[in-house]
Amino acid sequence: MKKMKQTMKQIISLLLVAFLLAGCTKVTTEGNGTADTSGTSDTADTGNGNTAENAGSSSANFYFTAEPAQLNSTLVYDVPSQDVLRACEEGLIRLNEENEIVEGLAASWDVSEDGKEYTFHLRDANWSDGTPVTAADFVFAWKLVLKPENASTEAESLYVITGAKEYNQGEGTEADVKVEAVDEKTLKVELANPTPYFLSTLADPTYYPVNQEFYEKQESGGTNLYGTDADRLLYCGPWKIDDWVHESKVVLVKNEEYYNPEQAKIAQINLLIVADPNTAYNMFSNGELDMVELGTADLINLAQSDNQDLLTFCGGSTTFMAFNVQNEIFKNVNIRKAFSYAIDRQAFCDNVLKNGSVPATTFVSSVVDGLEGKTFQEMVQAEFTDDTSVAGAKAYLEKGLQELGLTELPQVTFLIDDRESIKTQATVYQEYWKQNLGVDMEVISQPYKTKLETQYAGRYMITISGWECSFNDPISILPIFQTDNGNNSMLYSNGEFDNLLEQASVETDPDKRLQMLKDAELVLMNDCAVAPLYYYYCTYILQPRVKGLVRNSFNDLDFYNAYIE
Amino acid sequence: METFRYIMKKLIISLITLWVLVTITFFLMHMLPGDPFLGEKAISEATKEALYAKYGLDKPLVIQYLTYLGNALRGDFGESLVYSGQPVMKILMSAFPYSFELGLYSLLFAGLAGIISGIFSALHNGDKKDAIAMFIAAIGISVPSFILGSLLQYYLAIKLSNWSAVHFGYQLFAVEGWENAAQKIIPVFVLGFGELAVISRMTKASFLDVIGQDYIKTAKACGLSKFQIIKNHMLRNGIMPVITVLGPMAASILTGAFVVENIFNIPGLGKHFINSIQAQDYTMIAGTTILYGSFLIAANLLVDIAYIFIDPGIKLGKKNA
Repeated sequence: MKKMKQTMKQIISLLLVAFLLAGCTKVTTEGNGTADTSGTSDTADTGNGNTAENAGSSSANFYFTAEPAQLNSTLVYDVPSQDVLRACEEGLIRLNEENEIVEGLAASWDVSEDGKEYTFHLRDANWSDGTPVTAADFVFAWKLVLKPENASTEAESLYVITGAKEYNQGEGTEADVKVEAVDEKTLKVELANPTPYFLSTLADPTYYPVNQEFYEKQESGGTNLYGTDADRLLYCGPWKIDDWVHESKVVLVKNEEYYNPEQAKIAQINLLIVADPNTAYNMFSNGELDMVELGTADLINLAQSDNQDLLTFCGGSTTFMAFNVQNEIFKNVNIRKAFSYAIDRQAFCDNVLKNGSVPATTFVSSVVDGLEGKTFQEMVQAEFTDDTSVAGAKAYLEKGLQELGLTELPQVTFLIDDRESIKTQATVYQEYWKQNLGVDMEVISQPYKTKLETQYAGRYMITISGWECSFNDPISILPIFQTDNGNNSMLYSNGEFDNLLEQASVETDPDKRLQMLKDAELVLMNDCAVAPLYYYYCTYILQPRVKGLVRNSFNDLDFYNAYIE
Repeated sequence: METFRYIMKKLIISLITLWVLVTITFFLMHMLPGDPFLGEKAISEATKEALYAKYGLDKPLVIQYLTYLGNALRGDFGESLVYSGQPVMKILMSAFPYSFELGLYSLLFAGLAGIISGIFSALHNGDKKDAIAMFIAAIGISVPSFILGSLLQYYLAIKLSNWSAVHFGYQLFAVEGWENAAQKIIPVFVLGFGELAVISRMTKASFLDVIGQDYIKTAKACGLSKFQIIKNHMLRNGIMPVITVLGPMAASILTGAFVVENIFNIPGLGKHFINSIQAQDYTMIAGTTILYGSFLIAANLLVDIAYIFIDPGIKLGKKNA
């Protein structure tokens, strides 16, 4: 027994010593003060970084919550991939920190009188392998997005180009798509309608150029592997991918072939993949990350107690209650109003969400510009005069029941997906309806994809949905209420609304057009086709050493002018 | 010879089991409501058809099944529907080493510490030392790894490490990652702790049973030392039930631990098990299932083989008759 005790003591003490020794790694205190303990953060600091020649040579660490799905700009749909592409590729134009259009690969452009024909004059720029970026690269890329066999889920955003929709849907030919390379540096595009927002969408990765010769070399056994690895991409942006360790990190370094090699001030950007929000926060606390998003009230509280400066921006998305307007109960506008107005949005944002999001009173969020210095949201709000008070909700319900010829409301159901955050929200809405309308709502929770299928099949009464403005124009999200729109799971159909959208699409006067779109949204609001709940705000914190980073709804995580102090 | 035939028979049964597993998984996942390409934003019919054609999902299910089986036999699990252009095999094989290493260390830690603490408890059955050991085991079983992981990450990797950095210039532990020991110790401990508790309790129960046997009394009467009794007489018999649980435990722990990998940001397999099902990434679901299934079957096979060597008394062949 004694012998065994001794052996065990020896083993344990040996193990402890081994653990202690193994646990020690040196803290690099030089450079920018990042404690490089993990090895994954790969700080490329060169010594003290104080000498003149070292100025601008720095590294920064950011993160995504998921692996980029693939970096093929003709297929890209997920946020991490778009963020990576924005740093290492470039479109015809860029958006600056004020979301204004500035030159990108196009040095200048001409627009025809009728607003339908665009001619872009490209600057002298090279791909990372030294070959020039030509107009043909844009033609190839855009036609590839539209090519039916390529099956890009983003093809629809190019439908503004004449012949694009027909080609993508198999009714037209590639030759009929009106985008052509006049010469090596001149690109001509013909649009089906005057489209005032066309230029700003060109900053979107879907519109980036692709070098045809390089792309075709990535063909392998029936699959094209373009954009699936760091060496399977050509770069035309300020950075290029040095290393892509799948599921772990993407390392960006300066692209020396970029037309303005001085532009990239951060020499190395490490984009780590960190799925757990708490881990990301802990890494930030340890200096291993330069930015962290605070998605929950807990993290916001934690950051506040750590005396961090919270930064926010409106993400551009509106979360709303969608009604199935073909349903025999919710076809009634007053019933819809009752269910919408019974929710105290302010209290909900302040006490339940607590993540900086603000109550939504109209559909299109305040990120979209309107006329005369107002936002589009303010334009709609100014003319929307319905009584939306919680106190009035009950009266709407009674009126609606009367119109339907019912004495009491049949069992109503509320479809949600099974994410924890949504479940919590649903319980609160349920409580509001109970309290303010006296209605017992049955919540049906389904796995995410199942819920979407149920929703699109129209087998629901009320559900929660969300939509994001991806460019600075209300047309980015309004069409989901158009009759026959693929996204119209509300099954809403209103001739007046459809007409206004139709008229706006051919209107050449931008101001008149915006007024029409405002009227269109007012139709939706007065019809209570949608019950906007809140505008999502992203809250995050930044290490004080990072300057010039741009984050806004249309241009998120833009490193273009960022530098390390 | 008999041993060889026994192992061959087990192998064949294993392969059939695997085939049944693949088949059931294949048809079940295609029965899932929803669609791999379904998102908040609807895609046009034309695009959907093109996507189906691209991944061969437009063909009848039976044809898809046969094609899949044929490809799987050649080690080709197809291309992920989410990470387009990435073969499932490549994704799994790049994640597997992380999970395997994490699992192996945890298993070694849990196995060694669990057996030692179990024996310790059995020998001190009923007294204070036993109570303490079993209390720790109870914590291990009842505290979920996401709590233990988060706590240790906060107190050891941040608080303690910052303190040590200030006082000694060294950070003891890192918050995340999987490259050096500073990063590995906490996740290994967290993952192993729950299993440690299971093994410890199992060992204790089994050893208590052995302690009461006549041959132990005889050994004591012969004047053998306690250590000799444990080593020569108790271990062999007492360890059997532990070996039995070790098989499936090894299979599940080596093929990825979602929670621990998530907290400590280890690029292992765990998340693929969860995410592939949520995203209805068919090829990935099948790939992860085959991988896990093969491991489970192989581990059980090893356990069966281990029986032969630990306890020759087990009658070969008859066990399965």
